[in-house]
Amino acid sequence: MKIKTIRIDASKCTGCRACEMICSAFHAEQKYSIANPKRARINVFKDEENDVYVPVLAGPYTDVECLGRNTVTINDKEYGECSFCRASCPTRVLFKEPDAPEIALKCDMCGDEPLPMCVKWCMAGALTYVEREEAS
Amino acid sequence: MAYGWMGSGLEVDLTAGTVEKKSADPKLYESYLGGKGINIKLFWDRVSPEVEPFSPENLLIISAGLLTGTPAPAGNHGCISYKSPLTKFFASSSIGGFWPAELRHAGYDTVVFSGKSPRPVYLWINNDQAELRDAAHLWGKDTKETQSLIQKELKNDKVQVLCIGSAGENMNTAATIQHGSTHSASRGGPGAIMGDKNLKAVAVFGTKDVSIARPAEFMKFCDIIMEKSESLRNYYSKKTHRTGEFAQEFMNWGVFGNVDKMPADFEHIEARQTEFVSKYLVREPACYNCPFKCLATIAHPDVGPVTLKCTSWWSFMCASKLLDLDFSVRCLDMCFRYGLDHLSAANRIAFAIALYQNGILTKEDTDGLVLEYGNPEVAYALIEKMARREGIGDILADSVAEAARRIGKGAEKYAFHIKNLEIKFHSYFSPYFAFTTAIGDRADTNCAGTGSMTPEGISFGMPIHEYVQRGFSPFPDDWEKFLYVDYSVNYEGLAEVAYYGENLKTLTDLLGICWNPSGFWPFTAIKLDSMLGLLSSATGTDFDEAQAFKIAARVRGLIQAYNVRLGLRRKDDTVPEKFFQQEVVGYQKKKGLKKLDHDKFEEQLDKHYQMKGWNNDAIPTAETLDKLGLSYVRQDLEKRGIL
Ligand code: SF4
Ligand code: SF4
Repeated sequence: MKIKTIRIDASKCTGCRACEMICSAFHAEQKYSIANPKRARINVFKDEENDVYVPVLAGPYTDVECLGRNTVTINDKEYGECSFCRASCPTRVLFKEPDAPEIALKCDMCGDEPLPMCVKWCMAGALTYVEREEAS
Repeated sequence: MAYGWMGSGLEVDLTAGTVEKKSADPKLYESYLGGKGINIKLFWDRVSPEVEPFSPENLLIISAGLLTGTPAPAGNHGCISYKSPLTKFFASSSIGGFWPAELRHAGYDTVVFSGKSPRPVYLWINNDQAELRDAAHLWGKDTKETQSLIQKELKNDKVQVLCIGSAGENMNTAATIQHGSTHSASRGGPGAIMGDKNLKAVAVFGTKDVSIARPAEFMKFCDIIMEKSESLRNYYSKKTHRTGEFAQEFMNWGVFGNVDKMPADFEHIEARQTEFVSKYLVREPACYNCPFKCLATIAHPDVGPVTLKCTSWWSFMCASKLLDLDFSVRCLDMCFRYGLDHLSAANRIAFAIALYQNGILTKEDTDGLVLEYGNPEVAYALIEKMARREGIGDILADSVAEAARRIGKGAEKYAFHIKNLEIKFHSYFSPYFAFTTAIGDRADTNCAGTGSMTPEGISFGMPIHEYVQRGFSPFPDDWEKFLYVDYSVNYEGLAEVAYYGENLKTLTDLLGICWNPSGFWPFTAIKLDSMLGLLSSATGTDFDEAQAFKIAARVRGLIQAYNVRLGLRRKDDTVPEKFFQQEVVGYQKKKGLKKLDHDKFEEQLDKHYQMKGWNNDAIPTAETLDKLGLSYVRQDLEKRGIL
């Protein structure tokens, strides 16, 4: 089975959100007719003050919020619970259609596109596309 | 609403404490496109020339550009306009980052602030809901703290914030409006207007779509830009911060008028900056949807992370004649937190030191501070005093021109400004630089003034043909006769190059395309044909160069007419007398620069006004105004006896 992967190098991210923008434009009903990062299937977590930039791709939808929560400490600053989570879940608004929160947004690797759009628009090289074969 | 625009604006009456959503007149968009164009039209209609900058009748208008928030790369700018407390004319300051695009996603193109709030407030725009909130707890807080407090209070870290610091609260005329870690609307004193209005911040969050009329065509132009960007993006960071290559040029070119020569160790600036950056650079961030990396985040053990941009690297080192990058970064961190324009602040420091060194200021005037070059503490102390309006800082907070008047004793000789706006640390001995600055709509060459009709490199005698050949020049490709000229010494052609450059610059302001990749450097990724393509396919209405430039000329003409009513004339379109009179020394002399030639300068000015359809006293003629669709302006100028 061919596995499509996006490798994220957070240290290269410029925080430009081009990935969010182009993801939303590509998935518009009429391709590229709109732009709206809040409808993207990728989210760039940013804390400029602490120089933390982490692109997160939308993972699966879950209809119950998780019970185990974690924290992450980077450069002595603690980040709570959901900052780097990929799930579209009942606790937060991220990875849902803004006007229709019942619709979850999940990264689909841009279907048949030769290159995922966010990778194509990420000039900084923070996102790279890797395909690998895996025994199913 | 038509494609490309959101179609609504917010009307905020700070006196009454009301916020109202208003749909905009489609004609306004068609005739003025966006950003600065919308701002000047609203300003003309609503603010009579007699209104004082610090008065409730003065408006602060923020408009996003027409392409802001679309997929157009670097389409992220907005324009903030007001009557400047510094120049006393209509002025605009440009801002990038993430705020202007967020405003469009909230559903608006424009926010108009009028009146004056009785107590500190901030505006919170959350899609269709907008309200004024108490800001008493934020008053006195620095700009970075203010932003994070607001995000916490609103429980949303995606909220984008514009805000002022102490400098704005204390109505320092060099006060900026800050956003994010480094973005700002800087020159002309917009932060002071917010301070006067008791408006601490404007927070925005939006989830709406920005729409494109002809998407497939639009994306083709995006692809062209992205392709060009790929080969150019490293150039930016290499030139500006990675190697300090530009530092070598900038630092040695006549500093704020008060320093003619840098100390000998400045010959090593390039090596020093390269070393500093390789040690402390942790990231090169970008504004919204921009493929470039003009910013540099420095994580220094003592300060940081601090994100620097453009020429900010060098202003304080110049003013203090001190080759010390650590010092420079600290000064900038202070400026960002206080919300202070680094160019005006550094110019004011150079001015104060010069006065002290020449015996015009003494210890009694400076609270015991010895104002000398080479001492970092002088700059730290003065920045703080200016932001807080303490002691000597109170006098400097008004501008060098005003301070010179108050101090007397010949201080005027050391006050370097154009139309009251402090000059930056470039050499005005370069005819190109002097000319384009003199005729700009905001008297300087940073982002919002049409004075920045560069490529900047031209004024440094950089070889442009290389860029022309690679297709990276912002000018038409058949313009070799102008582009091979070294304008750091020549005059012929200035009128034409400046005319084209001003139209181009104005257009980027209307579209909200950042000027950096569209013309500021001599390696342009976003060329005019791409911009016209984006404009046409976004709106669904075709624009060619002539049509787009006509709108640019309309906007520039309207700004000029507004300011002409305030007394602006040809005599103001000049640079400080020193550059016409004093012999050139040091590095600049080595580079072949000469003092400016008055006659040649004036000759180009005549020609330039003529091309614009202005008379030789810088007033747009009746015929020109009619042609530009500004008959209402002609009538007003006639009524006032100006035409
Ligand atoms: S496009 Fe790349 S650099 Fe820009 S925010 Fe996304 S991951 Fe970061
Ligand atoms: S791969 Fe495609 S769907 Fe997934 S985040 Fe990137 S642009 Fe969006």
